Amino acid sequence: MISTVVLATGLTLILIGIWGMLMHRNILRIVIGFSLIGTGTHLVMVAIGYVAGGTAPIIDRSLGAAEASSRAVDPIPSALVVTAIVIGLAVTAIMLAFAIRLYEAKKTLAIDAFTESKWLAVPSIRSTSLSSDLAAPSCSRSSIVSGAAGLPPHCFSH
Amino acid sequence: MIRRAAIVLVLALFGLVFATLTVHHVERHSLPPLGKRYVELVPQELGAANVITGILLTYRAFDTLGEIAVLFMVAAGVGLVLGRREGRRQDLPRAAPQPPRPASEIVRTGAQILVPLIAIFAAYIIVNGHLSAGGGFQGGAVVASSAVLLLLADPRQRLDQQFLSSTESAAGVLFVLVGVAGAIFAGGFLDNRLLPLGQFGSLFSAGAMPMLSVLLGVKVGCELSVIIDRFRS
Repeated sequence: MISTVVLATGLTLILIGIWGMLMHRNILRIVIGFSLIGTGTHLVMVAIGYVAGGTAPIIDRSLGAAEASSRAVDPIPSALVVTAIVIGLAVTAIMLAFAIRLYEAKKTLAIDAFTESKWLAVPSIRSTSLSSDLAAPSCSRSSIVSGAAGLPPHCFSH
Repeated sequence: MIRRAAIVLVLALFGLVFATLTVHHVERHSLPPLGKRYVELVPQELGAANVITGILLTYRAFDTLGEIAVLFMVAAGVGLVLGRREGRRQDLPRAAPQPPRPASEIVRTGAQILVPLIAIFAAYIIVNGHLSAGGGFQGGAVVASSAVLLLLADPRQRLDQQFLSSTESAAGVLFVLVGVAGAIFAGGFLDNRLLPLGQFGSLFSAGAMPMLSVLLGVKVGCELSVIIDRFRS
């Protein structure tokens, strides 16, 4: 029963995190959504390892070595989660570092301001023959960032 | 409008999958075979009371080594992304940055009292990893939280990054050396039976595990402190 409650809480956190990442346009809120997904996943992993009526797998006065194999909780998911929590902190640190750099570049935290940046890498792809059947981006003024690397080659053909 | 509808559809589908998982979840009544073996083996063979630390530092110690490598890469990555801001500050057209406001007296006094207590608590958690809940990762994270408190209390304070970086590298090298010594003198890489197992439940038991815990705690604590210090200013 208790593990079903923890499992449901973890899955709800993952759902909230996915909603946060999709819905918000502020970079920091997207990072928070990612962190929520991580925490929810940790809860799910710990809930799966629960044994009914079990206790922590630490041998001390309350849990003797002889009865440990029948009353202890599965130790492996807990070991995985210990690692995952520290890695989650580290990945969040990298994401926040990138958010700081993006803010210094464009002075805004809205992710919409960076949509145009995806096209800066496009000219290197367009030069290969395989890309001829890819959908071509529009060559109108609105899709070109001032000071960009250049127009994609197909804009010059007509 | 269509974007919002697509988001709602995605969330509804995820919710359906998760609800199915929750409804069909059945609690176990006995340990799975691998967990049972670990719970029986760790007190017997390794002499450690905490089964999870025994798994993390001996049976699956290679994963711990890999995670140390990931933490090191992240520390290097944050240093790379945020590192050269002092030199490039003149390029950005913005007003001169104001000096950071000193923290209020409550924060400063509280930090003076709390930082030594947090450091002692972190050392206790690290060293007691094999006896009760704790271990290198948990203690290292608490050390980093004391670094956060220090930086909050005095924004002008700079942590000595050179010292922290060389300490963390030395701890990582020692960790690998203990592992190789385990391969030469005991059963395998990072086997903790390198040192005598001692009396079950005492502080100096479980072979090389307290030493590995200390090295791990020092490394993780220094790494996270360096990462946090990069975000200052």
